[in-house]
Amino acid sequence: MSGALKPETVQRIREAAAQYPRRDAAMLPALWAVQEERGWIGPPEMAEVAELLGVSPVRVFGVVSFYTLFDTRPRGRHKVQVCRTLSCALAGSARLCERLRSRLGVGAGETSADGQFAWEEVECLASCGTGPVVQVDGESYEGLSTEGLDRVLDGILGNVPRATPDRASAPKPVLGAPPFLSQWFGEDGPLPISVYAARGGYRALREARARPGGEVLEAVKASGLRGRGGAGFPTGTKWGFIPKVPSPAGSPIYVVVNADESEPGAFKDRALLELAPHLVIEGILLACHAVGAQSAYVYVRGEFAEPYRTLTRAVAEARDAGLVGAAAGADLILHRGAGAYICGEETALLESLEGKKGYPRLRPPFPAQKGLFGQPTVVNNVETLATVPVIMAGGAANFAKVGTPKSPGTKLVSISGRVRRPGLYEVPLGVPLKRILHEVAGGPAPGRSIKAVIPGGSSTPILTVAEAEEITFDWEALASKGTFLGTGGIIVLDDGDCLVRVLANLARFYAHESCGQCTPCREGTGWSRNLLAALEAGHGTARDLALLKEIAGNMRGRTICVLADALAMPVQSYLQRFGPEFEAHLSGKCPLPESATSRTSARTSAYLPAVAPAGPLDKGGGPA
Amino acid sequence: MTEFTLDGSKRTVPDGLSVLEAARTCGTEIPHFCYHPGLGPDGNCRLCLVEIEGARGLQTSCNTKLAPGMVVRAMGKDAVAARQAVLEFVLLNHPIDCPICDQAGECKLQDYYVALGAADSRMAFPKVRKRKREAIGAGVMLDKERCVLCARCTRFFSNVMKDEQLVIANRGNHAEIATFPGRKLDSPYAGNIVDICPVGALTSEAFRFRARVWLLQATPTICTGCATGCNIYADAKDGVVYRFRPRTNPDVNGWWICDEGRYSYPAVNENRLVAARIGRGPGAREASVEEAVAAAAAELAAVRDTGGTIAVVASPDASCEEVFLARRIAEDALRTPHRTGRSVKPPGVGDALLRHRVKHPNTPGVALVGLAPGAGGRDLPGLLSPPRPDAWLLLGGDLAAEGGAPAAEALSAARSVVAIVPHAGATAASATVALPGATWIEKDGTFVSAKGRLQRARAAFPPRGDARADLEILAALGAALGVRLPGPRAEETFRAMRAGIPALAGIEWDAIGEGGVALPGGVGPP
Ligand SMILES: Cc1cc2nc3c(=O)[nH]c(=O)nc-3n(C[C@H](O)[C@H](O)[C@H](O)COP(=O)(O)O)c2cc1C
Ligand code: SF4
Ligand code: SF4
Ligand code: SF4
Ligand code: FES
Ligand code: FES
Repeated sequence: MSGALKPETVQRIREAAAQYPRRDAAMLPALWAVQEERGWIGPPEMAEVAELLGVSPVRVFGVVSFYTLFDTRPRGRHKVQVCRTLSCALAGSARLCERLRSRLGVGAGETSADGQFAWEEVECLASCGTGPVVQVDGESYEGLSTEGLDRVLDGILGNVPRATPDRASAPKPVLGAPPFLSQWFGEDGPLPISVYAARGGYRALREARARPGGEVLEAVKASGLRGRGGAGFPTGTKWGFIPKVPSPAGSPIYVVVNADESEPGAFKDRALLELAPHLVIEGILLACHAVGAQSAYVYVRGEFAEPYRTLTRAVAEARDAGLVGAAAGADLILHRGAGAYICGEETALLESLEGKKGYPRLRPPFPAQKGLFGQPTVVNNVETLATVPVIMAGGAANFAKVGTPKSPGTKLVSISGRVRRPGLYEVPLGVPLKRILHEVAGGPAPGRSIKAVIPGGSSTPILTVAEAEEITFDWEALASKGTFLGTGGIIVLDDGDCLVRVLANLARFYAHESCGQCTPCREGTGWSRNLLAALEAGHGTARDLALLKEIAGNMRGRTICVLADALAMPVQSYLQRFGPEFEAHLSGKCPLPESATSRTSARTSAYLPAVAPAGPLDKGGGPA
Repeated sequence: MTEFTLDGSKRTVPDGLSVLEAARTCGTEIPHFCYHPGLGPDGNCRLCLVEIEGARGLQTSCNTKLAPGMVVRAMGKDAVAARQAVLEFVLLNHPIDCPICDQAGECKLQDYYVALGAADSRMAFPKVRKRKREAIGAGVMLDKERCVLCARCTRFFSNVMKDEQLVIANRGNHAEIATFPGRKLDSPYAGNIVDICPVGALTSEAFRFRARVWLLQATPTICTGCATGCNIYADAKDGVVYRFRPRTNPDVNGWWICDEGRYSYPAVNENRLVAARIGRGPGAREASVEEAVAAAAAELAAVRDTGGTIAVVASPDASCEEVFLARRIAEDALRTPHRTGRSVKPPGVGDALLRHRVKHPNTPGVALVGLAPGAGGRDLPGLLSPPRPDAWLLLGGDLAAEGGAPAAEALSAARSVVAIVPHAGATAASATVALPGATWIEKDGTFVSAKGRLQRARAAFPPRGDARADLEILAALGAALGVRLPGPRAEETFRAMRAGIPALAGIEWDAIGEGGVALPGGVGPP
């Protein structure tokens, strides 16, 4: 079967394989290399990859079929991906899809007749605050109107000047938050290593490395830092689970960085990677020192082309500065995902890193016992690790002075939906959520009022505005309302939004992202999606509402990972808090006609590239 | 031993079990799809949920280790409701085509559905459609719609065979079992996935629709395809074997058998010698077994009494008891030193999992019973070259076929060939007296595997036609030649045989049981 690939590609695959203790772990890099060479991956290429990696071809086939970014048939020259998930849907992504349908003359998942564009609907691209977002060939274009979209496509065809892709924007420290993290972000691009170091960056690392790693562990424990990836687990405690005996040769400890950010509503890690890469790298290296790891793998979400490039460059800078590498004490290897929300779940991520489908693992054993390649492993979120240099530089006490005793420090919050100033902010934990909604995010659009708040990303149970406005933003207060701080991705809904539509949108997301292992999740997410879609379309019955609730009950707490709960809990909370709104839908008509066409987000047009005359392809018309 | 409480009663089970296995030990079968003792837990089906006091929420019993004092409610209200819910989920996209499904009767989904009294599906949406009736190679048929995605088949290939050939492709409710595009299964053990598939997603091309399983009778016996001696069930009806399937024996074959053995059953049904025959060539005629035995005895006695050489050859396909009687006839009746249990069949393929390259079930048994050349006696293959014996007494196997041209020539050149064989093969054709023996599926007897395990084969049904258990024929032949032989029941023969063999001392027939016994000190190589 060999011979399907170019020698350069084969060489790339061999080099990638050398980055892992087992060559089959290089599966995703190998498939990326193939796709970059050929545009798509067919059976002969899969067989050759299998041969190069020493695995069975059917394993490669399974992996290719699992990840959405791998194409198994030829596609158009340019790939256009429209985010259809909640925040972008609220901001009008449906109109962009409509525009593409009419302009390209084909439906989602297809290629235009001229072979130029293949377009598809995709899930949250971590630009929720600046939606609707479209990625073309991996570059993000945000806050697009239909005209803006046309200009982007025309630019690619060369009919008009090419639009500049958008980057993440830096967080603003607000409500008295010390700029613990914010100060390390570059404005229009990554903060270069020279500036980072000149401002004192990497000093904490150098000092820590001169002393036992246990001191880092102790400082992080003392700081009370809680994980920013969703579960809020105390980071020091997690690190403490790693066996302290010096690991025998050939039995390494690993640090794995979860840079898979895909929770709808969250867009903080992307910003950290794009604008503050050295803060992240310093945090990773400190974590390695703390737990005695000699290598760290960074699992970067497949859709994050720009963050991946930025981080690659930053790691090279750090390597040149003698901070990264075997000689420096810890090596750092970047690994690119390929389109699967579930790979953010830590054990699915480890499977994916090992070159397999992203199937969450049964626990026990936990990653701290048997993680990556069967070795003790800590998995941490990007923001969690980025906070570690802050703790080491300023001291644990200084960090814990901010926030509440159980939720110390500051937190990056991603705000999207119906507020005037969506975006990324750094807030002190424990501030009233009402202040975040109104003072920071500017409150609802004129003439509107906030109806509901999703406090921590789409997986967290929804709050009524009354509930949201009476609590503070920290783990304890949110738990008292039966919800979670999650990733800190706040999605705001107002009185014009139909919650049936909102929940139907999310159900579609979870059904699409279920790995399919567990019966209740595989079937329950799809069934819920169908029921909600029917309800949204006006075909629902009272029995369907009861059924939805029952299905959620039968999914929750019954599966290998909590993706099932991530739909079940929202379903339960929406029905419990907004039952009448769901019942009103049974009449067959949405009582909120406005939501039938989503409104334009507050940010739209701010991001449009320079206005240029419409290109020749712009004749098709269609709804503008 | 670990003590725990199961549904209100105190129980004691061996240490180290999962909750599911512990309950099973106590006779409570907790429904499950994905767990299989040969594959371990995978936790994907979520059917095995139980209530465990003190644990948060329901727990999967397949991967929860039993701890001392645990209070488990397998049949608690919540657990049962959760299982019903899982079944409803499973059935959402299941075609429910039981009336035309070949798995009916041994489908776990059907069984659990009936047992748990799950309600009819409440899904009003079109089901996810997938391919049905796909021949995926190695005699296996796949129906993707019936699959419950338990990953047993994929794990069989990855965990047991260490050779992935099947995979669950896609995700969510589009997940489905697949081979590599354009490739078929290619494995000498593929048949096992049909057995372990809990539903009718994987069926056997050979067995599909041939018989309804509830009409078949299962006989616990062993495979005689090679020296491994895998434990099997022979599923038969009216004297016809419909399939072999593995019978669990951790000391021999675990949960598996090879396809060579699995698909060897047609040989039991086909090309059988069902009547005795006297004479060869155009003058041959059918005869009763009694008449043929008398003729055989007369022929052999004539050669013996005229100073001719007689070779007695028992195939290592024969049971220990048969070899024992053959030896007695050779030593006491025919008084010939030319006696052997050696085979001239070339070895086949062996591997590390089960298959042994020696394709006989009882080579160590022959050595144990001691059928070997006496002083001045010759062995195979020497007996096939001149000076060739004047007469042959052949038991089992098919020497003329297995030994190629030299064997065929030696037999046709002999004055007398008495063959006790189950098949109308080359040996039967060259016999001057052909006696219809039984296949191992029609008779009882013991066999010694390559690893030195004494195991019993059991008759699933009586020999067909005029065929007889070989022990009966041998005993009659002995009597006609003037020696009284023990038997003819295998158990009686075994007891007599045991007396002279130290390795068998103290081993009772019944103690051999269904699982066999390891012989002390083992045996030599097959
Ligand atoms: C379905 C699912 C998706 C997840 N996605 C992410 C993610 O994209 N990024 C992340 O850091 N954690 C994610 N997590 C949480 C991780 O499993 C894990 O808890 C986290 O990475 C631990 O890091 P921390 O302790 O630093 O928060 C996800 C969890 C689940 C169940
Ligand atoms: S809960 Fe869903 S996503 Fe998680 S392991 Fe089970 S099927 Fe996969
Ligand atoms: S084909 Fe059978 S064994 Fe394989 S996953 Fe499906 S149900 Fe399980
Ligand atoms: S390995 Fe040998 S004994 Fe076992 S099934 Fe195959 S042929 Fe029969
Ligand atoms: S980027 Fe579209 S919803 Fe997050
Ligand atoms: S048997 Fe336990 S989850 Fe399937």
